[in-house]
Amino acid sequence: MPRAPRPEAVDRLLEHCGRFSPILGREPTDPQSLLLDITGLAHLFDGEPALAGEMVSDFRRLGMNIRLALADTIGAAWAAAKYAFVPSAFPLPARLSSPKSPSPFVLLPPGQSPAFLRPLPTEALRLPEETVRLLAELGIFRIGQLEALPRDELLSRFGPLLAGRMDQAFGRLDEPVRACPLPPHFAVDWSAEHPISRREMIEAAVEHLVGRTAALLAAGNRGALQLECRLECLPSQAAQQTIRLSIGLFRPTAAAAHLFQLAQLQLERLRIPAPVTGVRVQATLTAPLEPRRQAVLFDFGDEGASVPLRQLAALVERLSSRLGPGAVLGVRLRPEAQPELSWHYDPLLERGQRRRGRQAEAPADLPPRPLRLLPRPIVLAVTQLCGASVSANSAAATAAPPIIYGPPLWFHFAGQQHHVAQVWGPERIETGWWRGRPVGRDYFRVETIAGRRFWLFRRLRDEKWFLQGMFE
Amino acid sequence: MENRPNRTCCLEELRRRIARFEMPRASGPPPVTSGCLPLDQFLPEKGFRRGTLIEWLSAGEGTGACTLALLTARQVCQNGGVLVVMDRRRDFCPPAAIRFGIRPEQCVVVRAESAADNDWAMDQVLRSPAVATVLAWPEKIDGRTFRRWQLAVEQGGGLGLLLRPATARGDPSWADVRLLVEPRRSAARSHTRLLRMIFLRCRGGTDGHCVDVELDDETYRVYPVAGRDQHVAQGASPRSG
Repeated sequence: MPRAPRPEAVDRLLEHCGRFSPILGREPTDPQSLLLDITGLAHLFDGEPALAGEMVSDFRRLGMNIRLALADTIGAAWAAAKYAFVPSAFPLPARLSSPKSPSPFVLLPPGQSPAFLRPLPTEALRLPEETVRLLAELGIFRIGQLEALPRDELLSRFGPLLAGRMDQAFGRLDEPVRACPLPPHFAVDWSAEHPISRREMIEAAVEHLVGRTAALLAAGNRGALQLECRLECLPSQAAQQTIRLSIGLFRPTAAAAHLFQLAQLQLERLRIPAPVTGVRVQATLTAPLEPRRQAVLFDFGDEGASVPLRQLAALVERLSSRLGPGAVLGVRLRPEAQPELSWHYDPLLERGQRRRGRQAEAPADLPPRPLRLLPRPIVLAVTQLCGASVSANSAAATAAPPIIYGPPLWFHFAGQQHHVAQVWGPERIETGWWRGRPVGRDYFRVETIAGRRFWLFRRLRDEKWFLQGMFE
Repeated sequence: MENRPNRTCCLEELRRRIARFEMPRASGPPPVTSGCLPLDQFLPEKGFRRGTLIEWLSAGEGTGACTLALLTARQVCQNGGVLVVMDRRRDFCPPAAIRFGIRPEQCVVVRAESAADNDWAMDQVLRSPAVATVLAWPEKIDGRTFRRWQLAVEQGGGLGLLLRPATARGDPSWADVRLLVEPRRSAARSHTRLLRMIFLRCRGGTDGHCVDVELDDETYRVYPVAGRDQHVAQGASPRSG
């Protein structure tokens, strides 16, 4: 069963459709449908087929397949989008697209809507289920059958809705697209009279556009959380035509100087392969300029209230801008026994933008872990094993069954041979069976005769020894 | 005939004068304890000065130098601010630091790809007043970068904890304190580990002191080892820059 789309996702798609029509709406009876009023716009796209083709391609670039129909009325277009693509027992005119047809959209020429609607089922009129069922009980399954009935009879038996839907679909009753208010658009473009290749000029253009975008944001009392800067370059075979810079921010800001500073951190490392013909700066994600948003990233509660969060946010933004969002990370503990999976890093910028709640308190009884934990344990060349040499002061030792082989007496690591003097353990970890890769290990803390401490484990499956950490 | 001044007295007098020159201005922020009382006793202000770099040198892995640095970081973070870990090696284990008493939301990990990016990020982090302390493992630092970091940390007012290999001992340093950490074999059936810290450099203090401590693995408390404090004549690294 197809999952209902999230309203905010549909809103975003609706906003995306703004490049095809200024009047965009949603069908109240069907949250998955978007309505576009394209009256008088088709010639801008070289006709309706070209417009429809461009829309389908555009959505495919976003990774989505859509059902698109163009018709005289909303009712006919909705019915075509719903029923012209599915194999059905209802014969459709041969010239219309079908799943077998290569055309990914349905185009009903002017005046052809009634002929298209007649063979369709009554559900295609956007009727409530109850009305459809009642009609079926009376032996009425198709719109053509309904059309043959006297209008007065329909009104008296089914009320004004059914007759109204018929009139809307057949174009006898006007039904405008109820335009949805779209979020304001914060983007500015600039086209160069002559392609420019001097870096200072490109930076100056970006600075100017960032300033204008910031002014738009400030006028709307909003701040950018994500700023995209696109440089259009002269076509060349060796390089891509468009260069995109993406700037993430932790807190919404409309400060032009700060935004340009972050853009400059990326610009100065950018290789511009061809002269630039145009620049576009757009705030792709915005939020209200609220002071309370500044406290989202590092919520220290009352104890850390003195932390200068503004400076911290600025630091995170600067680091993320130059090193990438994936290089500036926050820590979240996970309830995992396997040491290398017991925490999770997430980019701090995303944490700020998602507005997650306050973190859970760290558990008080964390087991001892080394400060350096190798992501991939190193197989040890073991020369000799201790015989049942488990330290008596280990709590785990008393609970665990007797060990046949203790940890290595000698092992090689980093070009040195280490002689084990003391051992604590084992700490048995058996987990991961639900991931399909079960893990069974006996961990030992060992101290060498030089006083160095390491974290070793024996893999239970094959009795191999590994080094996983150092108690630095 | 004029008496020639005693050579030892002369050196002592010169040492005192140099120490006076090196002493920071009294108007600076209050020092922060290192989290290790036996170490504090040998620091001229009984703690590390904020806005400075501290170097922890050790030979090889598993020596305990990072544990001692984290003791300091824990103390600094208690008053708010974040701990930034420059984890270019990608092997820092946050649960270990959290067990130490650093809260997860106080821990920021920076993973730069290149050494140049790491140096730049380090400069930015040290310069930020929001950062309480920075933990980093720089292997080689050229003199200019080191000086830049020192100026940055002075501006930010945090504490830069640099964990470096013992081979850096002969390199010039812009750190306030440079310590060499040497692990010792602990007593049998003991949870504590024995560590020796040697003052290679201490601004405003005396170099060459040697402090032996016992560190409890479970509680992270530090105990002095009685009668072990010594003074080693050699070992101080020359300051240049």
